[in-house]
Amino acid sequence: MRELPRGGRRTLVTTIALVIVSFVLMTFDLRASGEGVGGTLRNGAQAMFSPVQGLLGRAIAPVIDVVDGMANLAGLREENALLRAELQEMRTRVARVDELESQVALLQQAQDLELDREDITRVTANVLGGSDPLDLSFSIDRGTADGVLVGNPVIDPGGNVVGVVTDVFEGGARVLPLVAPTEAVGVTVGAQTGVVTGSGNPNRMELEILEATGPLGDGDVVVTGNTTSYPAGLTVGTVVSAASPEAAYLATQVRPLADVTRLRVVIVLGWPLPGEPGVTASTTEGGTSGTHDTTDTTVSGG
Amino acid sequence: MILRSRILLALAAVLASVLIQTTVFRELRPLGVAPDLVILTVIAAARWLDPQPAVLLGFTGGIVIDLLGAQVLGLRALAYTVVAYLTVRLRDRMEVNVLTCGVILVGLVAVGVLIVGVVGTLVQEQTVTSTGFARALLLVPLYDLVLGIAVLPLMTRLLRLSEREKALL
Repeated sequence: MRELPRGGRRTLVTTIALVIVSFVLMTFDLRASGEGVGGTLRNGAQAMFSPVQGLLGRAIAPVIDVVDGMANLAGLREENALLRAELQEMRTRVARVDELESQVALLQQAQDLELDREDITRVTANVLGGSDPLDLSFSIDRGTADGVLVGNPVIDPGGNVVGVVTDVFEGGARVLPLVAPTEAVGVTVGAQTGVVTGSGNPNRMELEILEATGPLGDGDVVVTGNTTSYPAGLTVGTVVSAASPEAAYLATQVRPLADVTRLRVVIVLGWPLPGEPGVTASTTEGGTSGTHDTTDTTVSGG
Repeated sequence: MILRSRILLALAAVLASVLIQTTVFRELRPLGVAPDLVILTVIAAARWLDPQPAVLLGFTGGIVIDLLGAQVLGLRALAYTVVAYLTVRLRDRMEVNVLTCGVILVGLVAVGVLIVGVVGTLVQEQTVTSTGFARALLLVPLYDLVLGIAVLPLMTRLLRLSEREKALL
């Protein structure tokens, strides 16, 4: 590398200063566990960007559908250019109608979803946007004003586990999906209990059973176990490949039933229920926020 | 005045890339990985800005992404600052030919992903140990190389000083 063209030393000093500032920010953010000044700044930024993200997201949704559609029509394109153009135009219209229909269907599905526990409140929310390639978390358009709290579980309209709310502000919240590498949940598969851990891959999760009593087969359904994080009995995914225990230890992969990269609508569950062990709520500057304590309790799902 | 307007243009481009990153590329994830448009825009802008504004732009882009994401605050800011600095140091070599430019671009993006992964792991984000990290380290630079075909010339058109502007300065 050659010398910097102008003010080389000054630029290096600036860079080092910014690197130090970054490390200081990281330290404060970690110590504050996402609260404090960092949390306030996050809430402010998300409140500022959410409306634009929402508008942009709605505007590009048909385009993305068309892009997907065009990929499927690659063969036909080669056969007839005229037919391709006509078909593309039709697909644009259809994609728009499909988009609206699927949105309505998702909202209807969310409305009709029946849970084992009818006393759990639900908040239906639109998914606004994600952040970057290594971060699978996303924003939703419901927040403290709608009763959403930090730690609330999030499911898709089909009732499958998506993740948990990690940040919340007045008009929106941030959801960290279960497929994120930092996430894990206690689950049951048949009569066996284990832990499902996110891998960072939206299509795969790791399942570990420490006291396995029998083999697992392809397609075995994995549901949430008795934890404070989620109501028991919510579907998480299906076992991808059959596996047998070795010295009572069993590990395999699970395909999540909720596709976090394609979600348009989610449901935030009011869980744990007020008064039940495992949840505390507090009022902050930005509104009401709630957190789970780490005590694990048994919660009936039926 | 000319320099200030170029910095504002670069900042607007980075903020636009943040919006596109957080909406379009939340859904468009070929093979499960999205391109990193923000780092690409920072690199493209740092080629033409003065060194200090270039580094500050990298930090700003990173901090905005940090604020909109769930990762620890300052992680992206650190990565993008370092990448912007390296871009300033290597930008003369990016002018040699298209191949060199592409290789350096891929390297810079890979360095950014690597910093996020390594520092993220140090602060318990566990990105390096996740199975998705290796794929991201491979695919994000390649995706950015493809996007760079459009983004680099666009930013050059926006930010490069014309002969008349150079004469004025």
